Amino acid sequence: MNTKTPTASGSRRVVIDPLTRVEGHGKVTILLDDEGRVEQARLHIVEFRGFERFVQGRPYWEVPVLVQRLCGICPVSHHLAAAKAMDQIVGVDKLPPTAEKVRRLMHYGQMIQSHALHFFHLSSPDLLFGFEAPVAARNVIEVVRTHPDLAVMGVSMRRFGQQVIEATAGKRIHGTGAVPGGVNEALSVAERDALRAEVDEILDGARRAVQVAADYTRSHLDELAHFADFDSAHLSLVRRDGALDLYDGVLRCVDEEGHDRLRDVEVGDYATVMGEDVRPWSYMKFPFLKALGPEDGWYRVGPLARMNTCDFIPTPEAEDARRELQRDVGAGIARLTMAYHWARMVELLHSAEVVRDLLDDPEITGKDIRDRGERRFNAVGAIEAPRGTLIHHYEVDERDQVTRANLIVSTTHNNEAMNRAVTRVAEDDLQGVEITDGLLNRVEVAIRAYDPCLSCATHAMGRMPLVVEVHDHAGEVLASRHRS
Amino acid sequence: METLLIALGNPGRGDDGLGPALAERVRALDLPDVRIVVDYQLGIEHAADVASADIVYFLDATVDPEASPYRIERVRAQPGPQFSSHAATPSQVVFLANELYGACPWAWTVEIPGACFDPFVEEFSDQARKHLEAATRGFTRVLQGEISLSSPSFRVV
Repeated sequence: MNTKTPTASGSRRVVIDPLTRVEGHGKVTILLDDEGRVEQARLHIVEFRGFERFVQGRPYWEVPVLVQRLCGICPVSHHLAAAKAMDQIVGVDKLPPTAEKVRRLMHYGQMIQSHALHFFHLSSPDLLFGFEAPVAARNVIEVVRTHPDLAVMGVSMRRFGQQVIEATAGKRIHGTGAVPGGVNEALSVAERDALRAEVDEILDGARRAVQVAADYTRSHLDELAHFADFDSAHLSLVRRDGALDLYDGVLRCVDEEGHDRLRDVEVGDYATVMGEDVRPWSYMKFPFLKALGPEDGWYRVGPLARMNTCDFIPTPEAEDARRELQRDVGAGIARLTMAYHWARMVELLHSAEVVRDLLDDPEITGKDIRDRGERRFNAVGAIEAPRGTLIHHYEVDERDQVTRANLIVSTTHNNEAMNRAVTRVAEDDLQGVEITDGLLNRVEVAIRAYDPCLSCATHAMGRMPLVVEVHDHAGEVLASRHRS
Repeated sequence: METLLIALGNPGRGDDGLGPALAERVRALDLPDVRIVVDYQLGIEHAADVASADIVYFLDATVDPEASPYRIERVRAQPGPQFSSHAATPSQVVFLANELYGACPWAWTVEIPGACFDPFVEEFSDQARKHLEAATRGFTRVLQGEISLSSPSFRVV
């Protein structure tokens, strides 16, 4: 399947297609210089949806439902980010306690199902069988055959998360749970009791998952220390007291040594501190901190970033797990790309603890579920989605129609980081222009650590196959490979 | 004996919503021992749903015009070469139910051909509407035991 094309200049490029077990697909190009050294690697996102345009002209109250169509994987995150923006449009800065708790329950249920799916069914083959195992033996079917207990755990946790979403959003698809200023309904006593009956089992599964991820990382630390790794800043929302909070907070960014780059900036001010760079080879933008510019102002988001930005996790078992992670891979700032998996499982445990606590809270079945205030016309809603910070910004006119929308989705924040990860792998593993199975595997594993949802990030219509190509300096394709 | 309907598709993408539409029509009949799950796409978590049922029907739109006006086919448990949350197939989900839970329900796909899968369209094409009518008539009779699915592939023309 490899092809090599001679070029006039003698330099070359490498392409990988498709990337498996990533939500959506993309294309990787490795550009070589005249001497055959890796000059740059790019994760191309070449399809375009332009979702922001589609919501223009729609009434604001439709938006939380409409934006769920951005993605079939994390519709709840878009639903809630849009609802948070529309809370402000209807003049509500603080929801009634029951409304906020129902929304938090929905969101943490989403975190459970998303993180469980990624770990048990997309990433565990890499961790259990090793990067170099052939694709035929490095897939979830082999996990099912060899580790059925883990596979069952993944199914159970995914299903539980979906049940939480169904109970809080009304239905699994196009849920209408969150509305501007609150929620449609509180949890019923029967729904609460049904979920509470299962939550201890989910907590047990989460504890086990943390152990699997931690054991894997510790036992492969020498190998992972140099795999697709690089220094970077880390960004996320944090609660105002510095705690991890996946539903709400202020923007914080720390550099590779843990020093502040952004200290607790209000979400509504995101546009004053963040910019979005555009590059001609990708429809996915490159966000950056304006104070540092596109070259130096990029950062990582998602589970690992959140471990680094927060001061603590406000649930006891996850906080213990976070401390262990920081102790063993970070000493303050964890930087290993593959530590994303461990961090994701710490968040899985945290989410299970939060869901348990919310189900035990009498206000989750309360009656005060919606509020109204003085109408506004410009609003920003942000949330920590499973893959990282998600920002929805809307302007709404006097006729209640959306006149402008800007969305920065989680995977977009990690755009530069994924390019750096692929570049690092190419530098370490590309020999000549041959796209070996090993190179394909390692590129895939590096990108998958970020759990990218490319269809969402690129606003793509449908699926994108990912190609890996080797290009020379003049853009000629020297080798390409398509894994389907 | 529990019958499970798993309806797949996005009602916001035109004819892609045919599966959920058929499920809603069945729901209106309020048939006993019929459970309905509606989702965007098939995921691994559906293996647990499948494992708890005796008979499973996967209701979905198809781009295959050969299935006109609708097609009911037996699902065999197969792992398949690729597996992601975007790409789970009925065969893979039944395979998971077999492997993980030791469950072997009778499983069938009910495919309804669509013609227009444009995003942000919440109505069916004329062709899809006709297919949905035919599928509703035929599938209802299957659920009510008036038609027996004795062959691996069943179609009313």
